[in-house]
Formats: sequence, C-alpha cells, structure tokens
Amino acid sequence: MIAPLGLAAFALVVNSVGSRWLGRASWVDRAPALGIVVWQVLTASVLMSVSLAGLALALPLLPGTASLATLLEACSAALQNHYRTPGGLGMSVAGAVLVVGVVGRIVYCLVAEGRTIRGARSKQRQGLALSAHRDDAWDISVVDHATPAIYCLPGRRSGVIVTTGARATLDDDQLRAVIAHERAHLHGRHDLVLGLSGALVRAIPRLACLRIGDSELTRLVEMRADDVALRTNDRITLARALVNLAQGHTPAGALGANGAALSRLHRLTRPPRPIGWMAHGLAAVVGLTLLAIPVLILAEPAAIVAMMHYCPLDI
Amino acid sequence: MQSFGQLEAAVMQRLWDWQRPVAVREVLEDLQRERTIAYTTVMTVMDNLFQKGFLRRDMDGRAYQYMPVQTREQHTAELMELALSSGGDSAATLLYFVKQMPAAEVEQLRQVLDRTVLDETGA
Repeated sequence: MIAPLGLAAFALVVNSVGSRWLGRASWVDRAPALGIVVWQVLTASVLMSVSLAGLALALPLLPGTASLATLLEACSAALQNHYRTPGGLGMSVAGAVLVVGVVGRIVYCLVAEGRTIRGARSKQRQGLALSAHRDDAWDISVVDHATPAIYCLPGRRSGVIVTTGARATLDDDQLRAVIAHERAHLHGRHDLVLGLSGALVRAIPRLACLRIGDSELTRLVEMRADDVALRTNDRITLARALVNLAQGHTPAGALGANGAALSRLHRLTRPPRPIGWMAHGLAAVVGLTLLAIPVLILAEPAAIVAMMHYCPLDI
Repeated sequence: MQSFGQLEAAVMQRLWDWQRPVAVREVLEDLQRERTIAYTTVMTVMDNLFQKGFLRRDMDGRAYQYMPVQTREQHTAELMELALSSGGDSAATLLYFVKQMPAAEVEQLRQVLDRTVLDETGA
C-alpha cells in the first residue's frame, strides 16, 4: 500500500502547494520561456503520479508482475506481497479504473479539442481566402475592416492577419514589431502549448495545477513572444504598438482579462532583470526530480529486490 | 492554372463588386479577360460557393442566377466577430496580439506608457 499512498500524497502536494507557489513566483515573469517549461513539467508530474498510483493499485491484477519479477531475477512472491493492498481485489480494480479513466478522459478531450480547433481555423482560413488580400512585402494577409486587430492563424498553413484598421493605426516600425511577436507564436508552436493546457482543464476541471497552469501559460506565452520580438525591435516601439492596438470599439462581452496587457506593458516599459544560469540549472534539477519521484516511488520495491540476489522474507 | 482557392476569391470579388444577380456566363467572360478558363470550371467554382453557403441562386429560364448571401462588409464583419469570439471556444485557435478592451483600461495603459516615455526622455 506504500506505493499508491506515496504517489497520491506526492500528487496532492505538488498540485496544491506546488502550483500555488509557482503561480505566485516572481521569477516566472523574468524568464517566461523557463516558466512555460516548468509549468508543463509540474502538470506532467501530477498527472503521472495520479496515473501511477492507480497503476500501483492495479499491479497485483496484472499477470505480468510474475514475469517482471523473473526478468529482474527477483522473488516474485515477495514483490506480489509488497504491492498487495488491504482492500484486495476491490482496491486493485479501483486502481485500474482510475488509470483508464484519467488517461482515457485526457485522450478524449485532446482529440475533441483538436477537432474543434481545426474546424474553427479552417472556417477562418476559408473566409479569409475569399476576402483578404496578400501583402507579400510584409508576408501578411490584410482584411478590409475598420477595427484594428492583428492575429496569427496557427496550423499547417499558418499566417499573420492584419486589418486595415491596424495598418492605419500603426507606423511601419510598430507593425514590424507586432508581426515579429506573432511570428514568435507560430515558431514557438504556442498554439500547441495552449491547446494542450486548455484540453487538460476541460478534461479535469477541478485539478488546481491544470486550471492555474492554463491561465499562467496564456500569460507567459504572450510575454515569451514579446521577448522574441524584442530581439529585433525596440521595446518602446512594441509598447506603443500594444497601446495603439488595444483601443477600438469596446467588445460586446468585454473581457476583463486585461490585467495581462497591463503587466506586459510594465515588462516592456520597465524591463525586469533576467535570471541567471544558476537559476536555470536549479529549475532543471527540480523539474527532473518532479518527474523522477513518482517513477521511483512506484518502482522502488522492484528495484530493491532486483538489486538483491536473494529473496528477503520482508521487503 | 490558378488554384481553386484563388478562383473562388476571384469569383466572390466580382459578385461583391457587381451586387446584382449574375449567370455563370457573365462571370466567365469577365474572368477570361485575365486568364484562359473553361465554362465548366467557373460553373464548378460557383456551385462550390453555393454549397458552402456564400452564394444563393435562382433558376432564371435555363440558367442559374447567383447572388452573394452577404455583402463584402457583412462577410468581413462576421469573420472578425468569429475570430474575436474564438477565444471562447479555445484560446489556441488563433493568437491575438492584444485583445480589445474598454476605453478606461486603454487610458490606463496610455498613462503608463506616457509616464515611461517622459521619464526616459526627461532624465
């Protein structure tokens, strides 16, 4: 019973404590690319722990544990004994259901989300094909529309779309900066990052790390694209572009989500110190640990038994 | 040979410009001023646009008369509306540089920016 309990406890701690701490960490805004990876590692760690907990419960059911033991030249009876649970068959079945349920639900939501997104993009592309004009000089599609807007359409035939309203509002330098930002989204496949995190939230809405992770990733992806754009553009130019494009008519369902724009503007006007290589190294170590611990908890008894060349009475 | 997508766009542009019912033949003759193209090709393209819901048609004698379902402006407005609201379905469909926001919040942004520019040029 140790393995499933250990895994469940680990998942609980990382999910609640870990994601809340990471959600408030100030270094994340200073290194958005790293923040994106760390969030993904954190959610992977939680989901892996939950799945492995179920697997640990279900192990006695699997015929393979006997042959796994012989493979390891270990004592199969002792291994079986370790993974046995007080609840017996019932617990094991519950564990199996948990694993299948979690993994199945996630896969289902990923597939469904993928389909929805592809359909919406295809519709956009079709509509744009009919009414947008190519501007090959800038490598963009221009739509005749008064509201200033610039967005990218990710996917197989990706592109950056600019309205005539936006072209009128921005000067050439600002336009160049915004296009660089959008291309950063495309090259970085941020659509995959957000598509995944969005699907996961839909799959298991109550899991804190997924909810917080999704909203954080949405923010971080924008900051990352800003950072990439700043390699070839001036930050005040980008800041001006941000403010100029933010106005337009008030949308019908006014999204209050624009604390994000304000924090982006602060980053551009008062750039934060980047974090050092030691911090990156530390993050790498923590990340690997988060992924290794669940595997170790699950495999610990089998590993120990394999290392011994005799069969102990008690593990 | 032009791609189908480009032909569809060329046909829609003409229908939007003319704003009256037209038969395939009239569109064909106008397209032929710029390219070699067969009647059946134009007919297929316009039939496709009808199937996709961009055109409607009425039988007039022996030929169909086609009209766009929406004006160009309505089409574009709907496209932009769809793009804006895509954020509701999934944030990953497309990625905006910045979402539209109420005037009060824009004002707040503008103040932050102006303060910064002032600080940097002043000091």
